[in-house]
Amino acid sequence: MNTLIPENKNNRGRYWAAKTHRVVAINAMLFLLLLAVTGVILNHADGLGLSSTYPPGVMQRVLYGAKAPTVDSAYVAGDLLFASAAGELYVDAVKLAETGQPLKGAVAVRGGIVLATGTELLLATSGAELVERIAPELKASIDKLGVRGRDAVLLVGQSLLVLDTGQMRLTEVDDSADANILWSEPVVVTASQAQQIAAAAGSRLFSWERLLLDLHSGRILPGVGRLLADLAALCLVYLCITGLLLWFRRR
Amino acid sequence: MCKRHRWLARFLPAITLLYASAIIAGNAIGVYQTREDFLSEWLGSSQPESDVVWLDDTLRDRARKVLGHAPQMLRMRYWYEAERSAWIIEEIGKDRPITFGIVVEDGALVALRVLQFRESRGWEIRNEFFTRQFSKLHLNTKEELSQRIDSISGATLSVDAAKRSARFALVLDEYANTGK
Repeated sequence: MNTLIPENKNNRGRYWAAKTHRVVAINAMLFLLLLAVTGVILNHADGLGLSSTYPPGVMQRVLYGAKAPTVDSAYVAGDLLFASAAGELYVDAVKLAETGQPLKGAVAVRGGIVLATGTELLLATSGAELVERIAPELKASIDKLGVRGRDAVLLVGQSLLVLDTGQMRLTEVDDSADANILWSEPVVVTASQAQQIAAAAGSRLFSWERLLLDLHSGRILPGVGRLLADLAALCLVYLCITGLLLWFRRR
Repeated sequence: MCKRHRWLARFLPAITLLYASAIIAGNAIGVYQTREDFLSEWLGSSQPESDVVWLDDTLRDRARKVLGHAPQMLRMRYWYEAERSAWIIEEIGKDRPITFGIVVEDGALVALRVLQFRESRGWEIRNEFFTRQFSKLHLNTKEELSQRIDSISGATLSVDAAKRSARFALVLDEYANTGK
Protein backbone atom coordinates (compact mmCIF):
# COMPACT_ATOMS: atom_id res chain seq x y z
CA MET A 1 0.00 0.00 0.00
CA ASN A 2 1.25 3.49 -0.85
CA THR A 3 1.76 5.18 2.51
CA LEU A 4 1.97 8.66 0.92
CA ILE A 5 -1.64 8.65 -0.28
CA PRO A 6 -4.00 9.33 2.66
CA GLU A 7 -6.44 6.65 3.51
CA ASN A 8 -9.22 9.06 4.45
CA LYS A 9 -11.33 9.81 1.36
CA ASN A 10 -11.60 13.56 2.08
CA ASN A 11 -7.89 13.92 2.67
CA ARG A 12 -7.21 11.94 -0.48
CA GLY A 13 -9.14 14.49 -2.50
CA ARG A 14 -7.08 17.33 -1.05
CA TYR A 15 -3.88 15.36 -1.60
CA TRP A 16 -4.55 14.92 -5.33
CA ALA A 17 -5.79 18.48 -5.66
CA ALA A 18 -2.58 19.80 -4.11
CA LYS A 19 -0.39 17.55 -6.22
CA THR A 20 -2.05 18.29 -9.53
CA HIS A 21 -2.57 21.98 -8.75
CA ARG A 22 1.16 22.55 -8.65
CA VAL A 23 1.91 20.43 -11.69
CA VAL A 24 -0.78 22.08 -13.80
CA ALA A 25 0.23 25.55 -12.61
CA ILE A 26 3.86 25.07 -13.55
CA ASN A 27 3.08 23.55 -16.93
CA ALA A 28 0.44 26.07 -17.86
CA MET A 29 2.27 29.10 -16.49
CA LEU A 30 3.81 30.28 -19.74
CA PHE A 31 0.60 29.86 -21.73
CA LEU A 32 -1.44 31.61 -19.05
CA LEU A 33 1.04 34.49 -18.91
CA LEU A 34 0.80 34.84 -22.67
CA LEU A 35 -3.02 34.87 -22.49
CA ALA A 36 -3.01 37.44 -19.70
CA VAL A 37 -0.48 39.80 -21.28
CA THR A 38 -1.98 39.68 -24.77
CA GLY A 39 -5.46 40.05 -23.29
CA VAL A 40 -4.54 43.19 -21.37
CA ILE A 41 -2.85 44.77 -24.39
CA LEU A 42 -5.78 43.89 -26.66
CA ASN A 43 -8.13 45.54 -24.20
CA HIS A 44 -6.39 48.81 -24.99
CA ALA A 45 -5.75 48.15 -28.67
CA ASP A 46 -7.76 51.14 -29.85
CA GLY A 47 -5.96 53.57 -27.58
CA LEU A 48 -2.59 52.16 -28.57
CA GLY A 49 -3.49 52.33 -32.28
CA LEU A 50 -2.54 48.71 -32.77
CA SER A 51 -4.83 48.24 -35.76
CA SER A 52 -2.93 50.86 -37.74
CA THR A 53 0.63 49.96 -36.83
CA TYR A 54 2.43 47.01 -38.29
CA PRO A 55 5.23 44.62 -37.35
CA PRO A 56 8.26 44.54 -39.65
CA GLY A 57 7.48 42.96 -43.02
CA VAL A 58 9.94 40.16 -42.41
CA MET A 59 8.14 39.19 -39.20
CA GLN A 60 4.81 39.13 -41.01
CA ARG A 61 6.14 36.90 -43.74
CA VAL A 62 7.89 34.53 -41.33
CA LEU A 63 4.95 34.23 -38.91
CA TYR A 64 2.19 34.05 -41.48
CA GLY A 65 4.01 32.66 -44.46
CA ALA A 66 2.55 35.60 -46.35
CA LYS A 67 3.89 36.16 -49.78
CA ALA A 68 4.78 39.66 -50.80
CA PRO A 69 1.83 41.10 -52.79
CA THR A 70 2.18 41.26 -56.54
CA VAL A 71 1.47 44.24 -58.71
CA ASP A 72 -2.05 43.98 -60.19
CA SER A 73 -1.56 46.55 -62.91
CA ALA A 74 0.69 49.44 -63.74
CA TYR A 75 0.45 52.45 -66.02
CA VAL A 76 2.76 55.28 -66.96
CA ALA A 77 1.45 58.83 -67.10
CA GLY A 78 3.38 62.06 -66.99
CA ASP A 79 6.68 60.14 -66.58
CA LEU A 80 5.39 58.56 -63.39
CA LEU A 81 4.73 54.89 -62.80
CA PHE A 82 1.37 54.24 -61.15
CA ALA A 83 0.79 50.72 -59.89
CA SER A 84 -1.83 48.97 -57.80
CA ALA A 85 -1.05 46.14 -55.39
CA ALA A 86 -3.10 44.69 -52.55
CA GLY A 87 -5.83 47.31 -53.02
CA GLU A 88 -3.43 50.22 -52.76
CA LEU A 89 -2.23 52.71 -55.32
CA TYR A 90 1.46 53.48 -55.58
CA VAL A 91 3.37 56.09 -57.51
CA ASP A 92 7.00 55.20 -57.99
CA ALA A 93 6.69 52.68 -55.12
CA VAL A 94 5.31 55.29 -52.70
CA LYS A 95 1.75 54.79 -51.48
CA LEU A 96 -0.65 57.38 -52.87
CA ALA A 97 -4.07 56.11 -51.83
CA GLU A 98 -6.15 53.13 -50.90
CA THR A 99 -8.45 52.18 -53.73
CA GLY A 100 -9.52 48.62 -52.95
CA GLN A 101 -9.43 47.85 -56.65
CA PRO A 102 -6.83 47.47 -59.38
CA LEU A 103 -5.92 50.39 -61.55
CA LYS A 104 -7.61 50.53 -64.95
CA GLY A 105 -5.66 53.39 -66.45
CA ALA A 106 -3.65 56.56 -65.95
CA VAL A 107 -3.47 59.50 -68.34
CA ALA A 108 -1.90 62.93 -68.30
CA VAL A 109 -4.48 65.57 -69.23
CA ARG A 110 -5.21 69.26 -68.89
CA GLY A 111 -5.42 69.76 -65.14
CA GLY A 112 -3.12 66.96 -64.05
CA ILE A 113 -3.11 63.19 -64.12
CA VAL A 114 -6.31 61.18 -64.06
CA LEU A 115 -6.34 57.65 -62.66
CA ALA A 116 -9.21 55.21 -62.83
CA THR A 117 -10.20 52.04 -61.05
CA GLY A 118 -13.39 50.16 -61.86
CA THR A 119 -15.51 52.54 -59.79
CA GLU A 120 -13.44 55.57 -58.92
CA LEU A 121 -11.60 58.47 -60.52
CA LEU A 122 -8.62 60.16 -58.92
CA LEU A 123 -7.06 63.43 -59.98
CA ALA A 124 -3.42 64.02 -59.12
CA THR A 125 -0.93 66.75 -59.90
CA SER A 126 2.03 66.12 -62.17
CA GLY A 127 4.00 65.81 -58.94
CA ALA A 128 1.72 62.95 -57.84
CA GLU A 129 -0.14 64.78 -55.09
CA LEU A 130 -3.74 63.75 -54.76
CA VAL A 131 -6.07 66.58 -55.69
CA GLU A 132 -9.50 64.99 -55.56
CA ARG A 133 -11.24 61.67 -55.95
CA ILE A 134 -14.80 60.80 -56.88
CA ALA A 135 -16.86 57.64 -57.14
CA PRO A 136 -19.45 58.60 -59.73
CA GLU A 137 -22.70 56.70 -60.05
CA LEU A 138 -22.28 54.78 -63.28
CA LYS A 139 -24.40 52.17 -65.06
CA ALA A 140 -21.42 49.84 -65.33
CA SER A 141 -17.83 49.74 -64.15
CA ILE A 142 -15.09 51.68 -65.87
CA ASP A 143 -13.54 49.53 -68.59
CA LYS A 144 -10.92 51.83 -70.02
CA LEU A 145 -9.41 55.25 -69.50
CA GLY A 146 -7.98 57.26 -72.33
CA VAL A 147 -7.21 60.74 -73.55
CA ARG A 148 -8.69 62.65 -76.46
CA GLY A 149 -6.94 65.90 -77.11
CA ARG A 150 -6.30 67.11 -73.56
CA ASP A 151 -9.39 65.57 -71.97
CA ALA A 152 -9.74 62.30 -70.10
CA VAL A 153 -12.31 59.92 -71.54
CA LEU A 154 -13.76 56.79 -70.03
CA LEU A 155 -15.33 53.77 -71.60
CA VAL A 156 -18.14 52.54 -69.36
CA GLY A 157 -19.97 49.66 -70.98
CA GLN A 158 -20.91 50.99 -74.41
CA SER A 159 -20.81 54.63 -73.31
CA LEU A 160 -18.04 57.14 -73.75
CA LEU A 161 -17.77 59.75 -71.02
CA VAL A 162 -15.61 62.85 -70.96
CA LEU A 163 -14.30 64.10 -67.61
CA ASP A 164 -14.28 67.78 -66.69
CA THR A 165 -11.38 67.87 -64.21
CA GLY A 166 -12.45 71.27 -62.89
CA GLN A 167 -15.93 70.18 -61.90
CA MET A 168 -15.07 66.46 -61.72
CA ARG A 169 -18.18 65.85 -63.74
CA LEU A 170 -18.72 63.28 -66.48
CA THR A 171 -20.55 64.00 -69.71
CA GLU A 172 -21.62 61.31 -72.10
CA VAL A 173 -20.65 61.78 -75.74
CA ASP A 174 -21.82 59.91 -78.79
CA ASP A 175 -18.69 58.87 -80.58
CA SER A 176 -17.48 55.78 -78.77
CA ALA A 177 -15.72 54.64 -81.92
CA ASP A 178 -13.62 57.80 -82.06
CA ALA A 179 -10.22 56.89 -83.48
CA ASN A 180 -8.58 59.93 -81.90
CA ILE A 181 -8.75 58.40 -78.44
CA LEU A 182 -5.49 57.17 -77.04
CA TRP A 183 -6.37 54.46 -74.55
CA SER A 184 -4.15 53.95 -71.53
CA GLU A 185 -2.23 50.69 -71.85
CA PRO A 186 -0.77 48.73 -68.94
CA VAL A 187 2.96 48.34 -68.65
CA VAL A 188 5.07 45.56 -67.22
CA VAL A 189 7.05 46.69 -64.20
CA THR A 190 10.69 45.72 -63.85
CA ALA A 191 11.71 43.19 -61.21
CA SER A 192 13.26 45.94 -59.12
CA GLN A 193 10.11 48.10 -59.27
CA ALA A 194 7.93 45.10 -58.39
CA GLN A 195 10.16 44.37 -55.43
CA GLN A 196 9.97 47.94 -54.14
CA ILE A 197 6.20 48.05 -54.44
CA ALA A 198 5.83 44.61 -52.87
CA ALA A 199 8.05 45.67 -49.96
CA ALA A 200 5.93 48.78 -49.39
CA ALA A 201 2.63 46.88 -49.72
CA GLY A 202 3.81 43.77 -47.88
CA SER A 203 4.73 45.63 -44.74
CA ARG A 204 1.04 46.25 -44.01
CA LEU A 205 -0.56 42.86 -44.36
CA PHE A 206 -1.10 42.12 -40.68
CA SER A 207 -1.34 44.74 -37.97
CA TRP A 208 -0.05 44.42 -34.42
CA GLU A 209 -3.63 43.93 -33.30
CA ARG A 210 -4.08 41.01 -35.63
CA LEU A 211 -0.83 39.46 -34.44
CA LEU A 212 -1.80 39.80 -30.79
CA LEU A 213 -5.26 38.37 -31.48
CA ASP A 214 -3.67 35.37 -33.14
CA LEU A 215 -1.25 34.92 -30.25
CA HIS A 216 -4.11 35.22 -27.77
CA SER A 217 -6.30 32.70 -29.56
CA GLY A 218 -3.49 30.32 -30.50
CA ARG A 219 -4.14 30.77 -34.21
CA ILE A 220 -0.54 31.79 -34.68
CA LEU A 221 0.25 28.07 -34.78
CA PRO A 222 -1.80 26.40 -37.47
CA GLY A 223 -3.69 23.31 -36.36
CA VAL A 224 -2.45 22.71 -32.83
CA GLY A 225 -2.38 26.35 -31.70
CA ARG A 226 -6.09 26.67 -30.96
CA LEU A 227 -6.07 23.40 -29.06
CA LEU A 228 -3.20 24.67 -26.91
CA ALA A 229 -5.12 27.85 -26.19
CA ASP A 230 -8.18 25.79 -25.25
CA LEU A 231 -6.00 23.61 -23.03
CA ALA A 232 -4.52 26.66 -21.29
CA ALA A 233 -8.02 27.96 -20.60
CA LEU A 234 -9.10 24.58 -19.23
CA CYS A 235 -5.99 24.52 -17.02
CA LEU A 236 -7.03 27.88 -15.62
CA VAL A 237 -10.47 26.51 -14.82
CA TYR A 238 -8.88 23.48 -13.19
CA LEU A 239 -6.59 25.67 -11.10
CA CYS A 240 -9.58 27.69 -9.90
CA ILE A 241 -11.43 24.53 -8.85
CA THR A 242 -8.48 22.87 -7.13
CA GLY A 243 -7.46 26.18 -5.56
CA LEU A 244 -10.95 26.61 -4.06
CA LEU A 245 -10.93 23.02 -2.91
CA LEU A 246 -7.61 23.42 -1.14
CA TRP A 247 -8.72 26.67 0.45
CA PHE A 248 -12.00 25.19 1.71
CA ARG A 249 -10.34 22.07 3.07
CA ARG A 250 -7.75 24.19 4.85
CA ARG A 251 -10.52 26.16 6.53
CA MET B 1 -44.35 22.57 -20.70
CA CYS B 2 -41.86 19.70 -20.58
CA LYS B 3 -38.37 20.19 -19.13
CA ARG B 4 -36.68 20.40 -22.51
CA HIS B 5 -39.08 23.03 -23.76
CA ARG B 6 -38.67 25.03 -20.57
CA TRP B 7 -34.90 25.18 -21.10
CA LEU B 8 -35.41 26.12 -24.72
CA ALA B 9 -37.84 28.87 -23.75
CA ARG B 10 -35.28 30.26 -21.33
CA PHE B 11 -32.49 30.39 -23.82
CA LEU B 12 -34.40 31.17 -26.99
CA PRO B 13 -34.30 34.97 -26.50
CA ALA B 14 -30.53 34.85 -26.00
CA ILE B 15 -30.00 32.63 -29.01
CA THR B 16 -32.24 34.84 -31.14
CA LEU B 17 -30.41 37.93 -29.97
CA LEU B 18 -27.06 36.39 -30.84
CA TYR B 19 -28.21 35.47 -34.34
CA ALA B 20 -29.80 38.86 -34.83
CA SER B 21 -26.62 40.61 -33.70
CA ALA B 22 -24.55 38.59 -36.13
CA ILE B 23 -26.93 39.33 -38.98
CA ILE B 24 -27.17 43.02 -38.16
CA ALA B 25 -23.41 43.34 -37.74
CA GLY B 26 -22.87 41.54 -41.00
CA ASN B 27 -25.27 43.94 -42.73
CA ALA B 28 -23.66 47.07 -41.24
CA ILE B 29 -21.32 47.48 -44.20
CA GLY B 30 -22.82 49.25 -47.19
CA VAL B 31 -23.98 52.39 -48.90
CA TYR B 32 -26.79 53.93 -46.89
CA GLN B 33 -27.35 56.91 -49.14
CA THR B 34 -25.73 57.90 -52.44
CA ARG B 35 -24.15 61.30 -52.88
CA GLU B 36 -26.80 62.27 -55.41
CA ASP B 37 -29.64 61.35 -53.05
CA PHE B 38 -27.98 63.20 -50.18
CA LEU B 39 -27.53 66.37 -52.26
CA SER B 40 -31.04 66.09 -53.58
CA GLU B 41 -32.41 65.77 -50.05
CA TRP B 42 -30.59 68.77 -48.62
CA LEU B 43 -30.01 71.07 -51.57
CA GLY B 44 -33.01 70.24 -53.68
CA SER B 45 -31.04 68.92 -56.64
CA SER B 46 -28.92 65.86 -57.35
CA GLN B 47 -26.46 68.04 -59.29
CA PRO B 48 -26.40 71.41 -57.56
CA GLU B 49 -23.76 74.06 -58.12
CA SER B 50 -20.37 73.09 -56.80
CA ASP B 51 -17.11 74.77 -56.05
CA VAL B 52 -13.84 73.83 -54.42
CA VAL B 53 -11.76 75.00 -51.49
CA TRP B 54 -8.05 74.66 -52.06
CA LEU B 55 -6.18 73.64 -48.94
CA ASP B 56 -3.42 76.21 -48.62
CA ASP B 57 -0.84 76.04 -45.84
CA THR B 58 -3.03 77.89 -43.32
CA LEU B 59 -6.01 75.72 -43.96
CA ARG B 60 -3.92 72.56 -43.93
CA ASP B 61 -2.60 73.50 -40.47
CA ARG B 62 -6.14 74.05 -39.21
CA ALA B 63 -7.23 70.81 -40.83
CA ARG B 64 -4.35 68.96 -39.21
CA LYS B 65 -5.38 70.22 -35.76
CA VAL B 66 -9.01 69.30 -36.32
CA LEU B 67 -8.48 65.94 -38.00
CA GLY B 68 -5.36 64.85 -36.17
CA HIS B 69 -3.65 64.19 -39.49
CA ALA B 70 -2.83 66.02 -42.69
CA PRO B 71 -5.75 66.04 -45.13
CA GLN B 72 -5.21 63.72 -48.06
CA MET B 73 -6.58 65.95 -50.81
CA LEU B 74 -5.33 69.26 -52.10
CA ARG B 75 -8.86 70.53 -52.59
CA MET B 76 -12.27 69.82 -51.10
CA ARG B 77 -15.38 70.04 -53.22
CA TYR B 78 -18.64 71.35 -51.86
CA TRP B 79 -22.10 71.86 -53.27
CA TYR B 80 -24.25 74.82 -52.41
CA GLU B 81 -27.69 76.32 -52.64
CA ALA B 82 -28.14 79.88 -51.33
CA GLU B 83 -26.43 80.01 -47.91
CA ARG B 84 -26.38 76.26 -47.46
CA SER B 85 -23.36 74.09 -48.30
CA ALA B 86 -22.97 70.31 -48.38
CA TRP B 87 -19.69 68.48 -47.88
CA ILE B 88 -18.73 64.86 -48.46
CA ILE B 89 -15.94 63.93 -46.07
CA GLU B 90 -14.25 60.58 -45.51
CA GLU B 91 -12.61 59.80 -42.20
CA ILE B 92 -11.20 56.55 -40.94
CA GLY B 93 -13.07 55.00 -38.01
CA LYS B 94 -11.10 51.99 -36.90
CA ASP B 95 -9.45 50.72 -40.09
CA ARG B 96 -11.64 51.78 -43.02
CA PRO B 97 -12.98 55.17 -44.11
CA ILE B 98 -16.53 56.24 -43.27
CA THR B 99 -18.20 58.56 -45.77
CA PHE B 100 -20.13 61.40 -44.16
CA GLY B 101 -22.44 63.89 -45.77
CA ILE B 102 -22.51 67.16 -43.81
CA VAL B 103 -24.71 70.18 -44.37
CA VAL B 104 -23.73 73.62 -43.04
CA GLU B 105 -25.68 76.85 -43.06
CA ASP B 106 -24.72 80.20 -41.52
CA GLY B 107 -21.75 78.66 -39.76
CA ALA B 108 -23.75 75.93 -38.03
CA LEU B 109 -24.39 72.29 -38.77
CA VAL B 110 -27.74 71.49 -40.28
CA ALA B 111 -27.28 67.75 -40.65
CA LEU B 112 -24.73 64.98 -40.53
CA ARG B 113 -25.44 61.70 -42.28
CA VAL B 114 -23.46 58.48 -42.73
CA LEU B 115 -23.49 57.81 -46.47
CA GLN B 116 -21.28 54.74 -46.54
CA PHE B 117 -19.94 52.46 -43.82
CA ARG B 118 -17.18 49.96 -44.48
CA GLU B 119 -16.56 48.27 -41.13
CA SER B 120 -18.40 45.60 -39.20
CA ARG B 121 -18.48 47.55 -35.92
CA GLY B 122 -19.50 51.05 -34.98
CA TRP B 123 -22.34 51.30 -37.54
CA GLU B 124 -24.70 52.56 -34.84
CA ILE B 125 -23.64 56.12 -35.65
CA ARG B 126 -25.90 56.03 -38.70
CA ASN B 127 -28.96 56.13 -36.47
CA GLU B 128 -30.94 59.32 -36.10
CA PHE B 129 -30.63 59.29 -32.30
CA PHE B 130 -26.89 59.88 -32.78
CA THR B 131 -26.77 62.14 -35.84
CA ARG B 132 -29.41 64.56 -34.57
CA GLN B 133 -26.97 65.62 -31.83
CA PHE B 134 -25.00 67.52 -34.46
CA SER B 135 -27.87 69.75 -35.46
CA LYS B 136 -27.22 73.50 -34.85
CA LEU B 137 -23.72 72.95 -33.50
CA HIS B 138 -20.96 75.34 -34.46
CA LEU B 139 -17.30 75.77 -33.65
CA ASN B 140 -16.22 77.42 -30.42
CA THR B 141 -13.09 79.52 -30.04
CA LYS B 142 -11.00 76.37 -29.68
CA GLU B 143 -12.42 75.01 -32.95
CA GLU B 144 -14.28 72.29 -31.09
CA LEU B 145 -17.97 71.55 -31.41
CA SER B 146 -20.07 73.91 -29.32
CA GLN B 147 -21.72 71.03 -27.45
CA ARG B 148 -20.63 67.65 -26.24
CA ILE B 149 -21.64 64.67 -28.35
CA ASP B 150 -22.77 61.59 -26.44
CA SER B 151 -20.76 58.61 -27.51
CA ILE B 152 -22.01 55.10 -28.25
CA SER B 153 -20.54 52.15 -26.42
CA GLY B 154 -18.55 50.00 -28.83
CA ALA B 155 -18.50 52.72 -31.49
CA THR B 156 -16.02 55.15 -29.99
CA LEU B 157 -13.80 55.37 -33.03
CA SER B 158 -16.73 55.86 -35.39
CA VAL B 159 -18.10 58.58 -33.12
CA ASP B 160 -14.71 60.30 -33.10
CA ALA B 161 -14.58 60.13 -36.89
CA ALA B 162 -18.03 61.77 -37.06
CA LYS B 163 -16.96 64.57 -34.72
CA ARG B 164 -13.74 65.23 -36.64
CA SER B 165 -15.61 65.31 -39.92
CA ALA B 166 -18.19 67.73 -38.53
CA ARG B 167 -15.48 70.08 -37.29
CA PHE B 168 -13.63 69.86 -40.58
CA ALA B 169 -16.79 70.70 -42.53
CA LEU B 170 -17.36 73.78 -40.34
CA VAL B 171 -13.76 74.91 -40.86
CA LEU B 172 -14.06 74.40 -44.60
CA ASP B 173 -17.38 76.23 -44.77
CA GLU B 174 -15.92 79.17 -42.89
CA TYR B 175 -12.99 79.19 -45.28
CA ALA B 176 -15.23 78.96 -48.32
CA ASN B 177 -17.29 81.91 -47.12
CA THR B 178 -14.52 84.16 -45.92
CA GLY B 179 -11.41 82.84 -47.64
CA LYS B 180 -9.48 82.74 -44.34
